[in-house]
Amino acid sequence: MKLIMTMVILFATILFTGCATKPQYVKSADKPITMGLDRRDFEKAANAAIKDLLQSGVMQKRDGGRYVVAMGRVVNDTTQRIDTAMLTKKIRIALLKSGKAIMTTAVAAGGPEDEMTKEVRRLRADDEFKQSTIAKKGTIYAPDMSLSGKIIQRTAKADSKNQLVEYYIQLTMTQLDTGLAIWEGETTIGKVGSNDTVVW
Amino acid sequence: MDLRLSNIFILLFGAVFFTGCVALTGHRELLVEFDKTLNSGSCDYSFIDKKIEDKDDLILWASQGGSFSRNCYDYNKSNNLFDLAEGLYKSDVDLQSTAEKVGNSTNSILVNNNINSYQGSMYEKIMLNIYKGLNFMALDNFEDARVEFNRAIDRQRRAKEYFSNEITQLKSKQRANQNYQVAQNRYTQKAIYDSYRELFNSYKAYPDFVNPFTTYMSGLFFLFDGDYNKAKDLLRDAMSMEPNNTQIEEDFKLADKLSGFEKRKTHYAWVIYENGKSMVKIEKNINIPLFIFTNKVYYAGLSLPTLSPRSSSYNYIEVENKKSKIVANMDNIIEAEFEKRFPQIAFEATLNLIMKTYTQYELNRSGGAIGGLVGAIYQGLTNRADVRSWTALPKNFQVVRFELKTNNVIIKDDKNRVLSTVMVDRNKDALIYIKSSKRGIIRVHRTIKGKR
Repeated sequence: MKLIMTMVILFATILFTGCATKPQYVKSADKPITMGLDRRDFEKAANAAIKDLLQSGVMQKRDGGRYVVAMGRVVNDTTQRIDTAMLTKKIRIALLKSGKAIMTTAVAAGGPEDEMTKEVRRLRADDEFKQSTIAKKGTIYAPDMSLSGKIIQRTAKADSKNQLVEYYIQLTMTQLDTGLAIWEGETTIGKVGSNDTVVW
Repeated sequence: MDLRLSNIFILLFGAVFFTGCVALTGHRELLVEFDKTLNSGSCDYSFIDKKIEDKDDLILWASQGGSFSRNCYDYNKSNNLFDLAEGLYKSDVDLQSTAEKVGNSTNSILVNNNINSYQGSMYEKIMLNIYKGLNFMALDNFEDARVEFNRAIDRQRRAKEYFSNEITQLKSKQRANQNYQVAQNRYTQKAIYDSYRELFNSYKAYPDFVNPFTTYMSGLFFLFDGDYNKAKDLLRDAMSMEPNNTQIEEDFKLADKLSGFEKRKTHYAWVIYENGKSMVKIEKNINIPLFIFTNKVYYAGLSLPTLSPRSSSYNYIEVENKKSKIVANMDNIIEAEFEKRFPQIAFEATLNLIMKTYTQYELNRSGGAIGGLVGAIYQGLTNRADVRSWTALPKNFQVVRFELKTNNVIIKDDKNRVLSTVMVDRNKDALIYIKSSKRGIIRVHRTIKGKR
């Protein structure tokens, strides 16, 4: 009888409290967690791109100064809603840290990243502001280069149960003087997983 | 079969009690009620909001609600509802556990499919992404629109694989059922298929179950987004699916021209026209012979879904003396998938009938007149076909393109009467999307890149 009671209590405890998974930090593992693009994929692509870009020597300015880089368009041509800043921000941080380049937020594809550069200049007509503290004309740096890219996805059936998804993370540094691509990099990420559902 | 009356009684009572009224009533009335509101042009959300709040058959009602909200120009609400449906397609349909699949199949055989949650169709999953893409275009969010059109193209690829492989696997699963032989008896099968011959022979299927509108609209999106090479590939595919539509060929040529270095001198407007109401499922009752008992043929009434056409709106629309042409016939796509899925539906319904006939026979034998009556009532009440489908879809999709010479576009109907005047910018391409489920009711959605 006691055994039965214990069993009932045990069963009820599990039934009513459930076996919910407690939150935990994602540990770095070799196996991918999703078929989609995740943080580790972006880290891998960004690290590879930055290493390659800095080693290529194209960011070495002759006079030892820094290039001004603007963000071009990074096209997300996948089936997932991705904020491409997850990729580009890492590259921008590394570029800035390298001391070879500096990003401009005053001009970018699709409009300035920070509208304040333009906005403060509108205060010139407003005599409530101390005019000497307002940015002067002809002080904004125009970019020398533009960083653009594309994330492409290709999905295919691998076998009767699995599918293969490949991501091509492509980046280009364009010299704006000439319109020439002075550096290009590509990272490919491949994942194989169940074909039961879509990858997104 | 050795069944006790009390056991059967519990089973029957339990089945109906736990699964609710839909086992007896089906879903027809609800769908008719929704269609009435949708096609009246009303924006009264109470019906849809209630369904979503009650979490009632969410895939079906979120899809319908997405169309309803789009009709009312609430693109964000529409996409939220479509997202909800898409998420459930993944979690509750694609990733359904084996136990749940068996449970659904058992429900279909013991009661009927109406008590299972709606599982949708391949073409419906694809259209979800297309509408989301169009909503994002109307919101001038081309980044997210691109994702949706990519999803639609990927779903179309998956649908092709599904119909070529998985349907075959389903057949081998059917064979494992102990009543397979009875259900697959050739006289039983003939009786069923004879009454569907006309439906199955009356339409022209697109190759590989594709929806040319998916391919065409995706191609058009990439053309708008300046990705001319991708646009070219998709428009070329669409051309081969609907070779009679010269507009698709013209669009392909345009994408080809634009992919070079030629500077744009002219801009165009595309008018996409969603015409009428798609086919819907209705219930059909047929008498079929069952060879359950060795010494005699037993005739029983079988309820199955069949497709019924609904009306068109304007046959075409006219702009600048150019008439719109058909890109894809949605009815054909619906019929093709229905025909492909029909053997499974018919098989489960026949097993259901065999089960209930056995039960009735046993009840008659062991429970006398009352037992027989209970069995007959149960069979009569639960003999309901599942007629659910996304009824907000159109009968066909059409397109007409013309060069923009002014900032006004005058759209006329098939009787040369002005339907709508749309403001555009003659220096930018425009997409004007018109839905008309019936004459007199039109919805106009406009997309000009860079403008909301």
